[in-house]
Amino acid sequence: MSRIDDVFKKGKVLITYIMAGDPDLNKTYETVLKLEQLGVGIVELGIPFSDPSADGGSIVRAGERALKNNYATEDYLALIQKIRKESQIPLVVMAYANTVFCYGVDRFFARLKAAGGDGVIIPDVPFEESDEFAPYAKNHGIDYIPLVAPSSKDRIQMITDQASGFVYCISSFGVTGVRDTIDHKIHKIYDPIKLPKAVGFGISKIEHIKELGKYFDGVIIGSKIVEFMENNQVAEMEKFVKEAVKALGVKK
Amino acid sequence: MDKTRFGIFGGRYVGETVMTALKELAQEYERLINDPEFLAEFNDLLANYAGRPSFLYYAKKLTQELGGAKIYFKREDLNHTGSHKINNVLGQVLMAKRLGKTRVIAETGAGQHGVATATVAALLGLECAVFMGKEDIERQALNVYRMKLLGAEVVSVTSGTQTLKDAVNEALKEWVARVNDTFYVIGSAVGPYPYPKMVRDFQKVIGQEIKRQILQAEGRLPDLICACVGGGSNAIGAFYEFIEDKSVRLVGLEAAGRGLDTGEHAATLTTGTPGILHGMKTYFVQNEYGNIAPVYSISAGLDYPGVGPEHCYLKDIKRAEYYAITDDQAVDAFEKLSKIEGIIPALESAHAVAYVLEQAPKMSKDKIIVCNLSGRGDKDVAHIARYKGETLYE
Repeated sequence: MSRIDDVFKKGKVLITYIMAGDPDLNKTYETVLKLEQLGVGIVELGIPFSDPSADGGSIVRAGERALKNNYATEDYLALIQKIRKESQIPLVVMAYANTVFCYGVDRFFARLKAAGGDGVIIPDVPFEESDEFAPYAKNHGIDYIPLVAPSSKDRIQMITDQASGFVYCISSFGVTGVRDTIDHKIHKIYDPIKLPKAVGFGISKIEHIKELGKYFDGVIIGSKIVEFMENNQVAEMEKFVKEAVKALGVKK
Repeated sequence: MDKTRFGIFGGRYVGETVMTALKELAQEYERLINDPEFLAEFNDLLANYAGRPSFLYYAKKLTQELGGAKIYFKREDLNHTGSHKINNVLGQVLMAKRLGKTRVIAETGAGQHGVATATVAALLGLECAVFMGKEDIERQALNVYRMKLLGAEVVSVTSGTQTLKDAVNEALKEWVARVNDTFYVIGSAVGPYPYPKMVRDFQKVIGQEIKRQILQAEGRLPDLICACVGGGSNAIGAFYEFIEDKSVRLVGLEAAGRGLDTGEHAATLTTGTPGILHGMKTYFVQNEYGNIAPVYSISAGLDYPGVGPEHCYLKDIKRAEYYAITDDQAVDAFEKLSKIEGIIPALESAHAVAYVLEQAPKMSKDKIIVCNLSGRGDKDVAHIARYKGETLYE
């Protein structure tokens, strides 16, 4: 039973994404521990990449800020190890294929597991290319969390068959980035999924969370959190996360 | 071999959102590429709109000047819109129509592919948006206006290095957002399957014509075919027909920019390492953590940190060779070809011409070189003037 399975067993899960190294690794470390205190159930840690094809404006900018530090891939894995000494919050790495590929796929997952990481999301690896990554993640006990999209339809079954942990359900067409409205009826496409399912991309308002929380086991907030950090709005972020936790009905 | 790959290279590393559309495209491509009706429509446009076949021109003066191998130029610069890009765009936009899409998008560096896409979108009645790095927009004002004149929207890309690579990123994102009505017309033999193969199949007419024309002119195959390589579409188009003809050396020329040791170049096959980006596994100029390096070339069309996966494969199996040409060599070739033959080549193509200048004197007079002149150089005249320290007002 993984840390991710455990947290979904307890009830609804608020998942937050932050860009590791934005503005530096110490800040990331502090922010993860803070988010846990506020009731966040899983933290997704983005590893910055020069060409983030799945990301919109605010996460792209966060990546550009983080890359200025010239950290090595190893530094992000060491960060996970440091967090794990203080906290049992499930940590999911969101990395682009090239970051994992250039580190060495097997070596990456071995090191991620040893550091105390729990899962991985690789947004530019579809099911058809997953043989190059998923089996290695599984071998080392890392949950391989796939993305499913509004266009996935009859692909959902085969994609989720190889998944563990949870399934990342994309809220709408397009890349990451806050959206004014989210069509909550999107849940119908994802209803057949048996694993815990979390919805993400563009979710930025408490009313989105309230509505989507009825249909999904988890809600993922990315760009909104990253924007709070970009503007150094610590108090605003805390207030938002507290409200989000309440809106979703997260159990203590 | 996996149909999506060339050896270990290629594949389809894209987000799940576009996978359904990509598979639909692959199916259509696999069907249409052998469909007589589709091919008839495509070939009719190539002949009557693009102006094919393009000439295979014997450069007598240059041959005499260099005193070695006989030099032929494949005149892709004489195609409508001024480069080989039109071949691929005609094929892809026809494909877009068959798939019922109402809008096409494209990325462009120098503007050649953008202009070709805007042109064919106008002809076939589709909406068109072209993504172009802010820096390239400033460098290529004439082409930007040309695209607008043709009815296209030009979208300025301000992320990253604000050049071709970033234009590809933004076009990919736009495709993810509007996959239902939009077709992404990729300009080179790059991207996820089926693009590298599809682009090659729409460009292979270049090599097929070369073979027919050289057999007619010389009664035998050439000893060397050379072409410039950015993404590699004109090169793969020229090479493909000759892959089984082992007596023909195939040479691709990349951009060495200010020199390979300066770090300011775009010599992907010469200096790159395998990586994954823009939907494919191929060579990239990148650091040890997999972050793509900023690349540089005097020619915007070669200013790309990756390369078509089929070229990686041809390099690996040692069927094709790849070398790098500096800015200075390319500019020298640009001027020589203009002065000696009265042909102003695109700066991209000038990289291949530079190789001819270097090789022809070393080869005996009974040898034959075919150099693919992928585009015309009018677009580069102002740029060359500035390079030479002159001020020009367009």
